[in-house]
Amino acid sequence: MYERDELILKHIGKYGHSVRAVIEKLFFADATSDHVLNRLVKEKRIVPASGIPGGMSYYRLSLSEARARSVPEHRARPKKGPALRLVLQVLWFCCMSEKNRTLLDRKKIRETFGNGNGSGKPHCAESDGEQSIVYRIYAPGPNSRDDYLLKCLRSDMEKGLERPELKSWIEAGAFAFAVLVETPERKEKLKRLISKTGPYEARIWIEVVPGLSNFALEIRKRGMERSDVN
Amino acid sequence: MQFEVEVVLGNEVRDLISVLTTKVRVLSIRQVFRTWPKFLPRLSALERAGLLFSFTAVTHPELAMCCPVVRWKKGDALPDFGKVSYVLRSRWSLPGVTTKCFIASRAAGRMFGGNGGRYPRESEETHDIHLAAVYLRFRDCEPEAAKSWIHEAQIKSERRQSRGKLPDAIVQKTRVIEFGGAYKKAKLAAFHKYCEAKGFDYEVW
Repeated sequence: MYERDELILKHIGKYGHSVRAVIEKLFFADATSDHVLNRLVKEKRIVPASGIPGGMSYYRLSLSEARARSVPEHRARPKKGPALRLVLQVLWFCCMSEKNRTLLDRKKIRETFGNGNGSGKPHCAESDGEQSIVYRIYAPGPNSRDDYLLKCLRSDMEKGLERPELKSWIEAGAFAFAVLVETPERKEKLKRLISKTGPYEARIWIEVVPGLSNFALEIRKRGMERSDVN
Repeated sequence: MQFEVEVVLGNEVRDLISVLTTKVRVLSIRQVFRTWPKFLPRLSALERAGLLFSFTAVTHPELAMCCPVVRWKKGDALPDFGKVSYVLRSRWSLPGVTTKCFIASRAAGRMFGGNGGRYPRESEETHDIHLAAVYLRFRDCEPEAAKSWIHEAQIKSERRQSRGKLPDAIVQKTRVIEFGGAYKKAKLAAFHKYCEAKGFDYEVW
């Protein structure tokens, strides 16, 4: 097996789902990946699936490949609705932003920060030269209440500060809370609410990331998607 | 069950929903047609997706919004409220017509960081449609001011006191925009007093 195949399978296993444009950005320097993805599909190592509005398909590991790699089976199952949105938003936040970010393994997170409120949320590491920061990711749904989100953030921060292993990271500014929203208008509103209800003990980073309603459009806008459209 | 938007929302549809959630409370079908003509056929899809709600209102036919009835800036002379009141009260001369209108849903309001899910009261329908017309006029003629348009729902949620005069909109932080119904002279004088005390310029349309 090619080394690149291994990297692609690891990537899909880690994020649960991935799309052609992301795979091409990460492993093909934006060149076409058709030949490799088609071969992996033919070998039944990955499975294409539809479900992203706008006629875009995504890839997940086949169940046999997930078992062979000890990847939790739920990651290899097709997702829809909020679960699919969360996977795509985390994928975009980690792989399509200009920053160098990678999703962290849940087991590693529990080992480092212990079990507690919010430890089941996705976490990612961002490195910028010598500085690096771990983000706990919140991806509120389109109909979720902002005041409730801020209440959860504050509660998770307070509980986190009670745990010495997390407290030292928060105080050093190496642990922050990322909120992924779908629209710039919501980002502005959240910023206003945060400054009104703050100060908060930890840094809150708000980023606009496409959701189900515009994921396909944003991918195409970037000119990276070529032939995933049904 | 959790709410998800599983339809594609292009930039222009987003613009329409953003206007309905952050700038105005209601848009009539004519206003949608004038501003986003391509999206008229998609409105029912947006309704099915739970982002918009439609309803039929009986309102005064939409008046042409060309310029404000009165414009006042700090340092200007006191307007002639009697004359302004006469103009405002004499323009409601036609019988009501049925108009299809749209509001944003509460979910759309949350998604776009604004407000939604509140149907205008019967007494507000004509006012809200005309205020939307004023906003659309700003979009065409003063796009920068339109960008800074703050709707009364946002003013209400961000101000400290819950009572007192609530302007229809504020643009560029210091300019109050009011759509004038059949305002009497005394109401105009009270409105002027409020703006003067707060240090606002104003326009009554």
